[in-house]
Amino acid sequence: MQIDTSTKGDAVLVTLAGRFEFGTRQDYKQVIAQIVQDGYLRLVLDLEQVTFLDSSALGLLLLTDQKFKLKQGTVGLVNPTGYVRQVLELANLPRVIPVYDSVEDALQASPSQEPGLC
Amino acid sequence: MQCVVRVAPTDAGVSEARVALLEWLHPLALTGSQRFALEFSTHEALVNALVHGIREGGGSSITLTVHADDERVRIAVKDDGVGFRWALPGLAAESPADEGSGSTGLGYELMRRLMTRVWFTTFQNGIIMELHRGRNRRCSSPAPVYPILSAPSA
Repeated sequence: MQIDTSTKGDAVLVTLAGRFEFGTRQDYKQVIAQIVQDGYLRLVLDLEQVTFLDSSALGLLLLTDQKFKLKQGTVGLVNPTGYVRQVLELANLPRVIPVYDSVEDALQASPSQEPGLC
Repeated sequence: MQCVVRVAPTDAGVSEARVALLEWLHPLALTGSQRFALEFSTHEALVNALVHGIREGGGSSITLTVHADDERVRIAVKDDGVGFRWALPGLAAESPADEGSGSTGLGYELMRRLMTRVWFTTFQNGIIMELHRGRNRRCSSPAPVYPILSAPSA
């Protein structure tokens, strides 16, 4: 899985590409740990180029959301497609973490945005 | 129709087996949701065998067996590790926040939602899943009515 990170104002945009699964979870965990350590409170995860997602990845997304909420921060997911969207909806993840159609929508969202498919 | 795949006990081996499964299923007249159910559930079972049967259980081999007829698709994933341990929701010490083995029980719950039936074969250290292809395919193991992941209370 390829992971690219950039800052957008007070937010961090993490763009994931490829297979997000048990075998690739360590790379993701390291990136998120660094972002949390750096003190950012807004995280946008661009999932548009993710082609596969399993329950291990779902657990990590939930864990990421919990870490940010503990610090009154926010996490948003952007444009999951096809198989990945099916997995997220199967697990009801959009009820916990808001899902946006674009990075711009996620960056403009209010921190109090209710979870759901936007 | 039946095929048996010896799965290399590695992350890459799990991915290769999933691809092999999709190729084998290709000529079957399955719906998109049926393919999704089989792909997701098989991956979860293979990862479980890799983690608990091979890496924690000292095993060395994983076998994927797929059988299909007009009524159903049955998938068996078995390993030769010392024990079989699913992180069952409500029973496991792990939580969705577990960062160690990656076990959360979530994979099992999602498999139960997707497949018609799921069995554990503790004697032979494996899991068997069945997807009925007919209209009333959910004849048992009904999906839970509660959301698997619920929003934290305010």
